Amino acid sequence: MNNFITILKKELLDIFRDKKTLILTIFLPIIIYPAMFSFMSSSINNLQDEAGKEINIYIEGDSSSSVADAILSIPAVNLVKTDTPQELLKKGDIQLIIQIPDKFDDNIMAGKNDKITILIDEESNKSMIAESMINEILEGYKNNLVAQRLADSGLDTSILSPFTLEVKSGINEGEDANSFSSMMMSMLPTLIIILMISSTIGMAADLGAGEKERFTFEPLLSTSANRSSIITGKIVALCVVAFISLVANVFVMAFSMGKFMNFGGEVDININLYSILGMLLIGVLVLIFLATLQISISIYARSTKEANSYLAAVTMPSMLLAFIPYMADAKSINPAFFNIPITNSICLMKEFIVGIYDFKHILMVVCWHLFYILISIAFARFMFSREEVIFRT
Amino acid sequence: MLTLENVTKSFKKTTVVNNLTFSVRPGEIVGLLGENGAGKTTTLRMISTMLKITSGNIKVNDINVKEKPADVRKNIGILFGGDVGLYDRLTGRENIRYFASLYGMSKDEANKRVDELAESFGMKEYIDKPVGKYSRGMKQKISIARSIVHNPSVMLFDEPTTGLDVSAAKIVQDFILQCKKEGKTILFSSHSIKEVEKLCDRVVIINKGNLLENCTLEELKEKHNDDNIEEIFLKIIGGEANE
Repeated sequence: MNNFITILKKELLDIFRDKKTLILTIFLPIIIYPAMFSFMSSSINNLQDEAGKEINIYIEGDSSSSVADAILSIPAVNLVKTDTPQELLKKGDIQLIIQIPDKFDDNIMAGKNDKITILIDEESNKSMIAESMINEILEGYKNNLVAQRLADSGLDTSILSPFTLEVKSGINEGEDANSFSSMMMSMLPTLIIILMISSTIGMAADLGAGEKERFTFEPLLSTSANRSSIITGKIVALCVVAFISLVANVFVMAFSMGKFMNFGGEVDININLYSILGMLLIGVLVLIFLATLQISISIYARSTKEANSYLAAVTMPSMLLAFIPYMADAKSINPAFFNIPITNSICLMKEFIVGIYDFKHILMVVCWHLFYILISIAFARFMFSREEVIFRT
Repeated sequence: MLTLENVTKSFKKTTVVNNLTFSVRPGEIVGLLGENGAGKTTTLRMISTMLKITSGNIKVNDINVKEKPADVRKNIGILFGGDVGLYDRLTGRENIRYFASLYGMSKDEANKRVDELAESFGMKEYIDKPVGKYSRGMKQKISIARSIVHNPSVMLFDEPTTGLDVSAAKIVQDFILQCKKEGKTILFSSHSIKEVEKLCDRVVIINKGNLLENCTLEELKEKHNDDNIEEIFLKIIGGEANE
């Protein structure tokens, strides 16, 4: 036990004196997240503003029709005259090509059903925003036309709106439904796990293969400390630093989302205490499992460079597993997902976020993780006991 | 006292050390001579319990390596050659104290011992600075201090001067002689004949894991009727001396 504490303390001291690790795992996210989210938010808002200021369109067909007049009545809309509209659309010089059939007004008056086609550049956000604005104008135009026809037939136009529609949150009383906040919160578990996986790689490589590279491994093995103390000290040190990094990352991420992201409404990151504790518990279990696995792999490598390659190879499938439930609805998760490593931790975190505390799911995921931890510890002990691993040249 | 009895080490089907028997008495320096791959490092690793013995027995101060490996390690100090193997971000004091703790010394004992070692090796000026800022010679002294922090009675040296410049090598050689004066049991692995001639009382020559000679340098010269140890060594291991 004493040796375990000695190794843990030394590893923590060593890691916290490594400025490179501290900057990359703790300080950089603190600077990056606010910058990233405010940049994302301002970029989207700027794009919307820019699109609202100037929309260049080309009208093919009846450009003197009343519908064309309605479109051109928007101050931001500019009509561009060109022989090569599709080329301009591809280049981004115009945002839309609107095809209006000839004699559109006459056909409408005659009660014929005509078709207006809008050609968009689906690769351009500006084109998509312009389409949404023009679509709104056309909807208004269509409603006016219908209202006029009803009036001409002596019917009350109020039959067009037999009811009004209001969308509100049914689970958070008195609040408007904030789908963006919900989407961000649903993405949070995946982000947490990915951050955990990626933040530990460099440290794991240093804690295992780094000892071989620095030639400190043999002096360490020649002390009275048994190998279990050495490996446990290293795993716990990795978990502690990764946990601090995780908490710092998640806190700054949530704070930055709320503070710097604004898409017409506030992003409300609101998770209750039980959910936070549940997520921390699952996070810690995943951390122990991953850290143990990473240290075992790292100890097999001859150098930190080699360890980084092996760890990247192991990290890739973990990342893919983390993305499986990325967009899954927390309230209807496929039960099979609770049996897949990594995926199951994210699914349970998703449930916690929306306030679901399903005992069966919790028990399943905790048991699976205890099993993963036991397996990874057995693997680590096996690796540490193998002479061909320890003295691999 | 260090005793090896019919020690064999095999990795799968390859025998690296074969039926090795020799002993080292307190106050004696025995040179373990052999070419690269002869089995010197494997022998030292078995003595220090880092590797398990396939067959045979090793005793360190009458403690069996198979039965009480942790106790054996408490009795052994090892100085490795090549890189000094220190933690650059820790100070010299922290490096030595870390190993003292791992040898089971209390905080007070460790601090006292580090002060003693800093005094005797002249490290007081820099011992509280990070090792990353040390010169090679300074690092070598820290490495030596680390190997004897727990005051072991048996010292193992695994090609300790490999890659060292003249002054750093001198520090190591002086240290080995100091250990002898203190009555420690010393096994010194090297492929430098000159160093062995300078330091050792007796040589154990091994080749491909087999013991070829175990005698004093004088006995070796007498037996082969030659004063040139280098030539004798090459003759024994089957090579030819380069003139």
